[in-house]
Amino acid sequence: MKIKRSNAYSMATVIGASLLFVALVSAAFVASDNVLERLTVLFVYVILAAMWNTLAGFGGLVSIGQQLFFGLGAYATIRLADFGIPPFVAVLMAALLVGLLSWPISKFMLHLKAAEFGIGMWVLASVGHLLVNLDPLIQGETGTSLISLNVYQIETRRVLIYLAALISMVGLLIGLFYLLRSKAGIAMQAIRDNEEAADSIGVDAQTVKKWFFIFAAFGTALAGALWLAQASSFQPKTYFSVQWTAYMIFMVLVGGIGRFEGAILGALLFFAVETWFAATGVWYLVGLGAVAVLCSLFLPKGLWGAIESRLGLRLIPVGYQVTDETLKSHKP
Amino acid sequence: MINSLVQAILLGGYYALIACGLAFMFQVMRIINLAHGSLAILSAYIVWRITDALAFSPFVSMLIVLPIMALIGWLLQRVILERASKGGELLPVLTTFGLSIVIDNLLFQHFGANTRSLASYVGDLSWESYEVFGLWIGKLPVIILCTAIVVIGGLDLLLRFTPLGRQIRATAFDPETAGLVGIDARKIAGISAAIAMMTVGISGTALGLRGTFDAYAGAPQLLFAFEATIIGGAGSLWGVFFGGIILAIAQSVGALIHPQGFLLGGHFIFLTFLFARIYLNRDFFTLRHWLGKKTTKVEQHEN
Amino acid sequence: MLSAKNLDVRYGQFRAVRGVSLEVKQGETIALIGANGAGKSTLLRAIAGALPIYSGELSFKHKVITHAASCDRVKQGLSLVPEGRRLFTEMTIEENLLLGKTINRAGDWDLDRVFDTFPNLVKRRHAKAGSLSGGEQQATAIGRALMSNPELLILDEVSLGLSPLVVDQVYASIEKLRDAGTTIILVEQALDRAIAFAKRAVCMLEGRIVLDKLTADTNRHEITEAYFGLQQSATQEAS
Repeated sequence: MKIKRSNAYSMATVIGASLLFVALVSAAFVASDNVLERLTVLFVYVILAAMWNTLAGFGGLVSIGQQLFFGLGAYATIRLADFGIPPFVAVLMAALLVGLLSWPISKFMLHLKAAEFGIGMWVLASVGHLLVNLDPLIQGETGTSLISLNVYQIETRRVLIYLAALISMVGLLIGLFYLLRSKAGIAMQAIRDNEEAADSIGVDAQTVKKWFFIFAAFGTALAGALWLAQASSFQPKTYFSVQWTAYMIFMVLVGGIGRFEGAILGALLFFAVETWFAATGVWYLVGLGAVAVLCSLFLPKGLWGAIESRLGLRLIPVGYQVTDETLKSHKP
Repeated sequence: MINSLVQAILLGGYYALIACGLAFMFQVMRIINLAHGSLAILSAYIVWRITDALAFSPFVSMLIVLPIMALIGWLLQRVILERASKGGELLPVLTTFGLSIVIDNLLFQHFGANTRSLASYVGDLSWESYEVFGLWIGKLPVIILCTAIVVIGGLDLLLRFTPLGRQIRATAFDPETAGLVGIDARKIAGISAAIAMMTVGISGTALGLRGTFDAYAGAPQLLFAFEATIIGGAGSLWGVFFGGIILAIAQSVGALIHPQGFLLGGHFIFLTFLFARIYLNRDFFTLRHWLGKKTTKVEQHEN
Repeated sequence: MLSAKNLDVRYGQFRAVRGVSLEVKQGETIALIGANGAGKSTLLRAIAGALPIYSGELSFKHKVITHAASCDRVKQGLSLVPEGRRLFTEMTIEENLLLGKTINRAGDWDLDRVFDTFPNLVKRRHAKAGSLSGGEQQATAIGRALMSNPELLILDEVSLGLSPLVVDQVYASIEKLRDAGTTIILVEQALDRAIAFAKRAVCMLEGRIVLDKLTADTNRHEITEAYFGLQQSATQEAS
């Protein structure tokens, strides 16, 4: 039996991902406006999926209230920009501030279990929404805009937002990769695979969950801030909508919960589905909900999980791989 | 002032009504059904549809809807929850949330964006009031409050004194041993879900009578039900009843403080109770108090 | 009456019961003997349906029940008094007993007869089961199983944690059952008592049956050897 942490695929993945990154960066200067805007949306979706996956897939925390951080990220950007901070600095600072805020929230909320945590987060999102409404700057549900972005020309602005989203996505994915490869991250995956192992590993699961929670809050807030930069207008109702969490859940469940690649695959699928079917309006949302239910019941590891177990393929080795097949088939 | 308090208590009756089904299901099956609010809206729409089409009183329509809701509950348990709960405690959260999205959007697709109300079908009842000590107390809210008391009292009596209630309690306490003494845990779970959905049918009707609803009104109802349950301690159904009333009073206080403070007041009292439960370690706020010794793995990790 | 063929029961990858075959005839009394972890409780729980059977076949009264739900097995007349009694501690004795009546099989066991058999329960009838002494709890657990009028009664660790005096009382009552013709399988750590009570002794070691003899044909020494696995390997293979 051998345990290894990388394989031939992962080398290929690194090279492939680097080439893709270079291609995407160069795309900023050649691609059409529409393509850039759509890709920016895709990057935000990837961030959202990866962050919710961090929480649920690796931390075992199903939150129905991640729109709290998404909305707060956007709101904080507006606030900071209003103080005269340059918009892109404000985006990053907003995400950091929300990440900081999530620390006391984690202290409190991580005492709750399963559904209590999930709905409790939803209540917090509602609290966040209502409090933001009270800020006169926001003008209630009317909302406001990130006017400071107007200092850039429209074309420059588009490219800058695109690059910011790309860099944020890559940065967060790399961050997540190392978080999962850390001793604590490995331990969490072991706990996910086998709860009884939790005690023997000697890692304080609560502490690790707290870090996952904060990381996910930071990433989701960054996504919210980027979304604001792209859309430029801020209506609390849109940003604090539970729909965002519904999208995250769909992406992760379909792609493969607890699989690093799964969230990315899910985001790509969601992006495609949205591009093709969003015009069908409500039926599209019915379909999303139904597919999420079916996936969680009948395809618990998502599409990537199915691909992985069918082909033994693992592009991004965040965990540990035991190459002896008999051990792999172990099921408690 | 006294008037707002009385109105709040009456509103609390509605919250208690919508919460008791959620709490009942949580106690018996350890599942928080995130589609709870959406199902209440679904039942409100069905009542509205029957009332509108057949010119029945909404109360008669509700009696027709109750068996439909019971069937929905039974199917929900058999088709979704039974399978989901085998996959751990997170799966029911995901599946019921997904289900709520499906229900909300199907309702929107079918009934459109207009808000509906049942109030116009009960004639004078929707505005008739009793005058007590100079206070005007609406008949309808009183009926709803009384319904909440009857429903919760009925569930309580059912659990305490009937063979079915005994079997439900035994299954909640220790499903494995319940099977060993001959209780069909699947059947009990199906019946429990059916009962819970019947209370949802009643509360959906109450919601429609009290005011308006639309396809996406399920989420706030779920949050109200959840908050009332947590405030009440999730432990006993009567606790949930008082949880509903406390929630409504807090909302009224919030509304007095700030024009937009209605919902915030409710959220803050909820968070306060949650805080008390977590940090003051008050045992009667926990499920354990009601179900006995059972501790779950997560709790053991915390210790 | 009960027939197990090549039963395997697993916890994850651990085979707690390995290829066990056992025939129980109507009216028999069997003492199941073995050290802690030998697989006795696992076997009995699998027979009662509280644990899934991994492979093999189990039939009761010529009906295959390998994968039947535990409540259906109670319906067929198979009842287990689980190790540690597993009472519903928040309910009264009477409620616990009435739960045993969920499946209303024909027979003469009812509340009155249980209270006749265990007179010490009468005055505590409305006490919470959690507040009872060990002996009272065991009596309630046995009474609860009897309420379903079982044809096969399985008792896991009858006397664990009870004082000798109470053990005598419990045995006095299950001897009555035995003499009335109820088929009984019981797990008992006290060898002498087991041999004295049962007509047949079955000894388990590491998930296998290593000895299966009428108590009249064996002795304490042979059973002890089987218990500790000191027998010749020939016996092991034979079973």
